[in-house]
Amino acid sequence: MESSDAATVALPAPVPLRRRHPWLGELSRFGGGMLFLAIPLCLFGVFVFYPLVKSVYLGFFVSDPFGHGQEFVGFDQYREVLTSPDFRKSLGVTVLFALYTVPTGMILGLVFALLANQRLRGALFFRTVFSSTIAASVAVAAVMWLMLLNPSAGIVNWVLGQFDLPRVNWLTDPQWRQSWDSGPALMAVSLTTIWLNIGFTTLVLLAALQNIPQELYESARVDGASPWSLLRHITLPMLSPALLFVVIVASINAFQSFGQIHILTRGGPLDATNVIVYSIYTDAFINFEYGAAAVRAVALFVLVLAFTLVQFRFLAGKVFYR
Amino acid sequence: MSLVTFDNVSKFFGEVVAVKDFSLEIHDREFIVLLGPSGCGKSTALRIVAGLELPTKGNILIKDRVVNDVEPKRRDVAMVFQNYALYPHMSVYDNIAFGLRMRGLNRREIDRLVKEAAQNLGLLELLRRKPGELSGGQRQRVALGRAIVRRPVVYLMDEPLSNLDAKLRVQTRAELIKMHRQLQTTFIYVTHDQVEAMTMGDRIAILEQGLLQQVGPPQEVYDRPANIFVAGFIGSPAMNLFPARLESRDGDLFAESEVGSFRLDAQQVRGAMDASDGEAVVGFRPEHLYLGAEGGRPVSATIDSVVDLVEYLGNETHVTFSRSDSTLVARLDARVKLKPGETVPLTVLVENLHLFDRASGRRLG
Amino acid sequence: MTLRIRYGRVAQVALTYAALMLGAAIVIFPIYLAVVNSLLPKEQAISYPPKLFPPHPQLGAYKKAMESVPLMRYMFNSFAQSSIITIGQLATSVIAAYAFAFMRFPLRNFLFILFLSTLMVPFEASIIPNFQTVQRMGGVLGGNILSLDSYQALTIPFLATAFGTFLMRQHFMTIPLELRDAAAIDGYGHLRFLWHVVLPLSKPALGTLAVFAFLQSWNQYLWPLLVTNSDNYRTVQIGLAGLASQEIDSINVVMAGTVIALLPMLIVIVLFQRQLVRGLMTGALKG
Repeated sequence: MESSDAATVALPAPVPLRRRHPWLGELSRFGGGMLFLAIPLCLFGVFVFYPLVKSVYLGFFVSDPFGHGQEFVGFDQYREVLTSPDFRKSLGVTVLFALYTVPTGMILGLVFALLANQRLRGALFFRTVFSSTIAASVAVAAVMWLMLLNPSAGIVNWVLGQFDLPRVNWLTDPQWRQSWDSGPALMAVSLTTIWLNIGFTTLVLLAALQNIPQELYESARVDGASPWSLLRHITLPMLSPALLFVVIVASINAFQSFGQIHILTRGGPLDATNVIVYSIYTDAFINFEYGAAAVRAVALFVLVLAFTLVQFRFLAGKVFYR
Repeated sequence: MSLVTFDNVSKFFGEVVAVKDFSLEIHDREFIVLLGPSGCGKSTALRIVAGLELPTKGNILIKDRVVNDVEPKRRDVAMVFQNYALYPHMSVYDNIAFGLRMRGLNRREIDRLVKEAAQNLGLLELLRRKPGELSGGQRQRVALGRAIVRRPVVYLMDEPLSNLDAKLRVQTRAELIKMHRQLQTTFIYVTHDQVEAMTMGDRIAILEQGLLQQVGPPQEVYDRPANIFVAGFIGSPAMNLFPARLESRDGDLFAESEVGSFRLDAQQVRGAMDASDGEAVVGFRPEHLYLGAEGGRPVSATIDSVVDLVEYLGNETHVTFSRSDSTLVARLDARVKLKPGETVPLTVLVENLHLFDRASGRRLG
Repeated sequence: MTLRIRYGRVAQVALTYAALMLGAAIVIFPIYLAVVNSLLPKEQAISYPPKLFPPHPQLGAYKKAMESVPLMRYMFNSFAQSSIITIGQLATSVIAAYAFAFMRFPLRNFLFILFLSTLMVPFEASIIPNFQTVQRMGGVLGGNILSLDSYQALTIPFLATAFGTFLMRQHFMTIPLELRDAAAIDGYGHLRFLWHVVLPLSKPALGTLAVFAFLQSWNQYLWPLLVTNSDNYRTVQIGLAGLASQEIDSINVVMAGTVIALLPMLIVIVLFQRQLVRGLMTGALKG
C-alpha cells in the first residue's frame, strides 16, 4: 500500500447545507413524534394528570349531594378530614393491612419458588399450581374466601376445630377476644389478599431464581459452602432486585385494595377493614361528599408516592444490580 | 502415588454417553491436559473429579481414596470455570476469601492469605472492586486467585483462556505454566485448543465422544498418534490422510491410494498383516512433504501434484496441491516460489509415513 | 454410588416433594373447594363438616346460577371490555413505543419520563374526577358517546398504559438500528417500517402485553362497579358479587358462578405461562 501520497491530494471543501430556519427541522421532528404520542398523552392527560389536579381542587369544596362543589372552604376541609379520628383509623388499617400482606406474601412466594426450582419431575406442574392465583380476580377470590371463612360451615373454622382451637367469626368480629387492635376481619381480608398475591410473587421469584447462573452455585460448592450459605450468600443477593420489585408491587397493591373488602366486609365491622380506598368510595358514592372523598384521595396519592420513594431509597441501596 | 485416578469411569445422562470406560492415572505435580472437540466429555471428566457430577459407573480416586460419595467441598480441589463464576455482588477481596471463610479460618489468617495471593497475581489495587468493573483478564486472575488461596491438592481448570483475546491468551498461557512450576501441584486442564495442550501439558489426554483416544507427552502424541482421530486433530495444518488398500507387489507390501503408492516400513508391514483386512489409511504431516529427495533417506512415495493455492505466511509457505481429486497440504520453506498450475513432484519419506487400520482407526506399526 | 448417598438423596427428594404437595394443596384448596361445592346439591353444599368430594356431582347449580343473574351476558360484557382494552393498549403502546425507540425528537426523554410517572398515580386515587368526566362527557358530546353504563365508559380510561409502552419500548430497542436504515434506503416510511418489519419481529412481546392487558381488565372491580348500573353492561366480576349476595343460601350456586368467572382466566394463564413470566421479568429487571 502506498503511503504518503494522500496529503498531496486536496479534497474540496464540504458545501454547507443551506438552512433558512435551523429550527424547522427540530419542529418537524417534534411534530412527527407528537403525532405518535398524541393519543396516549391525551388519555393520560384526561384520566391520570387532570384527575390529580381536580382532586386537589375538589378538596377545597364541601359538596352537596349532587356532586357540585358548593362552598369554598379552602384548606379547612383538608385539615378537618386529615385530622379526623376516622381518617387516622383508616390510615392505621391501611398500614396494618400492608404489614400483614406484604412480608408474608414475599416469604411464601420465596419458599414456593425455591421449592419449585428444584430440578424434579413435575416441577412445571407445581409452578402452574403456585401461579394459578394470578388468574383469580379480587371478586373471585373474595367470594371463595367468603365461603371458606363462613363461621359455621367454612373449612377454616372446621380446621381450627380439629386442633381444638376456638371458632372465629371471621368477617363480623372487629377485634379478637383479647382485644388486639386488629381483628379477625382484617385478618380475613389479609388472608384473601395474601392468597391472591402468591401466584404473582412465586412466578416472579421463580423466574429470577432461574436466571442465576448455575456456575456460581458450583463454584461455591467446590469452595465449601453449605446449603444455608448458598442461600444466604448467593441466592438472596442475586434475588434482591426481584425481591424489591415484589415488595413494591405488593405494597402498592395493598394500598389500592378495594374489591375484596367490598365483598367480604364492606369496610366493617366498625371500620376494622376500612382502608383509605374504601373510605374514598364510601364518602364519594354513598355519602356523596365528594370534597371529603377528594381529600382522602389526595392523601392516598401522597401516601403511595412517599411509601414507594422511601422503599426505593432505603432498600435499593441494599439491592445488588448486575 | 497417583494423585487422581479414573478407574473405568462412565457417565451417562439418560441415553447420552458423556464419558465411557475412562481410565487414567494422573500423577502428583503433573500438568495434564484433557483435550478434545466440543462434546467429547472432557468437561464432564473434570466435573467428576470436582464432585459436581457423579460417575454412573466406575470409581474416581483422589490420593488413592475412592471419593465417589464425597462432596465437592470435602475433596480439597479448586476449580477455575470457563466463565470465571465470580460472585458479582462481592468485591474481589470477598470473592477470593469466600472459600476460606467457608472453611472457618480466622479473619487475620484470611486477610494474610488473600493479600498474598492478590499480590502474586497483581490484584492488590483491585481488591475493593466488584467483578463487573474488571476487564476479562482481571476477572480471570481473580478466578485464579480464588483457587490458589485454598492450596488444594489439585487445580481443575475448565477452558480458562477461551474468553480472552489472542494476545492476552498467549500471555496468560505463559503465566499459568510459571504458576504450575511455582505451586508444584497437580493441574488438570481442559481445552479444545491443541496449541494450549501442546505448549502447556506434561501429558495430553485426548478424548472424543466420551472415549479416551490417547494419552502421552506432547511429542509422543504428535509423532506417534494412536489413531486417525488423534492424527487429524493434533497439528495445524492437519495431517494429510487418505484411504488406501494394502497390496503385495514384488514381495513388498504397499499401500495403494488415490494419490500414490506408498512403501511401508517393517513394523507397519507386521502391524498390517496382523490387524487389518487390507483396508487402511495413510497419513503424513504437511511439513513432511518435500520438494525433492531428502538426503537420500528412504522414500515412501513420490506424488506428482498440481499447485492449487499458495499462502505465504512470512516464515513459511502453505501450499495446497491437488492430485487426482484429492487435496494435499504442504508446509514449505518461505523461499519456495510456486505458481498455481505448476506440477511438482512431492516426496514422502518412509520414516514420516503413518499407517492406520481403516475400520478401527488404530495405528499400525 | 453407595447406598448411603443414595438414601440421602432419596430422603431429600421425598422431603421436597412432600413440601411441594403441601404448598400446592394450600394454594389450590380454595379453587378446589369452589369446584367441589359447585357440583353439590344445595343441602350438601356448605354442610358441616365440609365435604371434600362430591359423591354425586350434578350441574344443577350452574343452571341456577345462569338463571338467577344473566351470567352469560356478564361474561360477554367482560369479554367485550377486556378485548377492547387489550386491542387499545396494544395499539397505543406500540405506536408510542415506536416513537420512543426509533424516532428522534426534542423532549423525547422528558416525555418518556412523563409516561413513566403515570405509574406512580394509583388509579383508585383518581376515581372521583374520572367518574365525573365520564358522567359529564356524555352530555357535552351529545348523546351517548361517552356516558355511564356503556362499553366506552368501561374501556376508554384504560386504553393507554405506561407499562405497555415501556414493555414494547424495551423490546423495540433490541431491534438493530441498521434495520431502520436499510428500510429507509428501501423507501419505507415510519408506518410501513413499523407494520412490515417491527411488528413481525415483536410477536412475543405483543403476546405478553396482550395477556397482561386482558388479565388486568377482566379482573377489574372498582371501576366497573362505579360505571355500570344495568345488566346490559355489568361485568362478570360485579355480577359475581351480586350473585353472592343474592343466592347467599345456595353456596353451590355461588360457587358455580365463581367457577364460571374464573375459568377463562385459568385457561389463559395455563396456555400463556411463558408470556406471563416474560412480562413479569421485564418489570422485575427494571426494578
